[in-house]
Amino acid sequence: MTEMTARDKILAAVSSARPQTSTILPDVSGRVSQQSDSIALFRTNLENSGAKVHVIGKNEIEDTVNDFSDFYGQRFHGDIALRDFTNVGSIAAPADLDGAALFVCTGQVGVAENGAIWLSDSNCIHRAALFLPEAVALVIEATSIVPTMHEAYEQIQIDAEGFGIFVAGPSKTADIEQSLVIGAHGPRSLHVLITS
Amino acid sequence: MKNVSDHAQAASTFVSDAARTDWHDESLWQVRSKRDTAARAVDDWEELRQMASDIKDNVLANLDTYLIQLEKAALANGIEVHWAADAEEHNSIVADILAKNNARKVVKSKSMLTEECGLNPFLEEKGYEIFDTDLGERIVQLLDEPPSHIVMPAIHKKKSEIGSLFHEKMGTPAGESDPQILTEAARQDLRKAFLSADAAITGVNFGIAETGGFVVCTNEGNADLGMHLAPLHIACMGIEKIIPRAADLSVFMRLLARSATGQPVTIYSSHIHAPRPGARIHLILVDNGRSEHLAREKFRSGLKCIRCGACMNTCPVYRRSGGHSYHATLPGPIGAILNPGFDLKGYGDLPFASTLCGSCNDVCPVKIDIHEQLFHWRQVVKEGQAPLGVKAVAATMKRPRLFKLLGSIGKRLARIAPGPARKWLESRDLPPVPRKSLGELLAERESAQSNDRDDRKG
Ligand code: SF4
Repeated sequence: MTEMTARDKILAAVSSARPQTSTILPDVSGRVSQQSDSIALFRTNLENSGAKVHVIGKNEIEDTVNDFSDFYGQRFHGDIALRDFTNVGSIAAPADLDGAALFVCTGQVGVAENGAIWLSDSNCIHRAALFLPEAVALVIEATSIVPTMHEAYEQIQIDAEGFGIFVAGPSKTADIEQSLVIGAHGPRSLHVLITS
Repeated sequence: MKNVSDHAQAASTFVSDAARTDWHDESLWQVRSKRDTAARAVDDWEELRQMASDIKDNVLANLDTYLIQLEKAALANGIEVHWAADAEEHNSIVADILAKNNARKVVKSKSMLTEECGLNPFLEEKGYEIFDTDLGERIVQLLDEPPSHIVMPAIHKKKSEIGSLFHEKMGTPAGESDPQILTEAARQDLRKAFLSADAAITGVNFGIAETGGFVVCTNEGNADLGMHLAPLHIACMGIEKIIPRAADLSVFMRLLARSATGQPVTIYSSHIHAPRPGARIHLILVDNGRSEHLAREKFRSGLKCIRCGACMNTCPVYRRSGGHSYHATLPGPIGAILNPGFDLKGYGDLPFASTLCGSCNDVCPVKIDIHEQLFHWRQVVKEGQAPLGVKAVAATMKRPRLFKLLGSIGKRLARIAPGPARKWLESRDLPPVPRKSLGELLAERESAQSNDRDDRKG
């Protein structure tokens, strides 16, 4: 009851306060970007934010992730099956991922202008799997890299699943005197495997 | 809360330490420079700003419709929606949700709205355990200070001071001030809180009317660790944070981080549309003076703000007087035009805490006419509360040191300031007697801008 009152009060106040002029929403679709080499820019942006980028063949994923030596401990996979990795779907509670060494899953779209990679629930299975392990690796096909966020948002449907995210590097902070520290609360390293 | 009487007085304490003032100035100038580099790297930057501004104008003109749309879509997604007319209602809704879920331990990520509502002290009073988890916010929480910047809450603190704080609170070695080591200590300390929290409270960067979801952006991953581990997530959103369509995000996501820190995008940009299995999400839509501000024709565009902080980093007064001198949750130029709307008596001094150099307008990603509004507020203050306005100006004028500093930055700014602002800055060593010259300045700028527009038309 009280919440209904607040709702009506706010909506009535907004409706009488808002400008009565009509304004048109700009068309944000179909923006053409001229980017010559999206893959190179994607890579540079990721490296600038502290990620490690590996350009590999489609059948080299397993070898590449097995070579990672950043951290030792249990390794998990999401939507991509890997030998000697535990399926993240098999754990009881996401908190069990605390202290895990590595989590690997697929990304859907990569964005050249900022190095961001879009993925959603069906890729990571547990949302926390992107944040609790010491390292995360995302696998993205070279053909899924688009120039800007405009193309990215055209390709994805943000509400297709309950959770979707752009990841653009390992977790970081500069809250102490603007000094960059990699490994704030989330992963201390992010590997990106670009496959073709 | 607001017992500090005016900005000039508060600033005089800050500038009395000249070395610290220089250091603060330099830190923020660095961020401003990174922003410039990032903006220049985007060909259609100005076009993006215009689009963002147009989208937000459309939002303000249809705010009620979009709010209803957001509510309907969010409910359909399985997100519970609440409405709070003011801070008090907001806080009691949060407390209610926590109580119903038997939640005692709460991890929070950065939210200027909950700062504005005084949520932390309200909950702590009731015995809840609150952990601010953004590193900067954690630092100021442990110091029992408010944030001094909306993007970098502890920008006013030196690493040695943070070192001794962490030594006292987290047992780091005495004298340790390496940011890497201090960050690691906070990481380990807060990881325990994340793993055992009953609830997560986050802010909202963008609410999407079309899809009934919202976006939360961080670099640290702290908001995500909170909301993906706790069984309960409460998201607090000011009603003006709404955007119409999913596609609009492409515009705002290109602008936000570049304007804020000079990064091309935040590390984590999470789009939330439904809780994970077994968890619950509550979204609280908060007015708290926003609808009232919407009615103020000259000032309503302040509600377009996306809280990037760029106007603070570029402001010669903010950089040299520190965020706390604004004695308000929202400091800097944007604070100086929004706070007087909420409390003219308490914040009537803030529109005077500016050189009217116009730099804030130039960097604002949603093109808010900040410095024109500063000028208009000065007139409102002068009309309604002459003594206060005059007092604030007089107090400022009595600080030759602050004045000299401002003059010297003015000259430095002149090298990079565009158009009319440059002219103004070059021609002045000291800020002029406010009343007359401000009028002149505004007139000069307005006519320069309309010439500009005419040029483009022709
Ligand atoms: S007023 Fe503009 S520049 Fe300042 S914080 Fe808001 S969006 Fe950023």
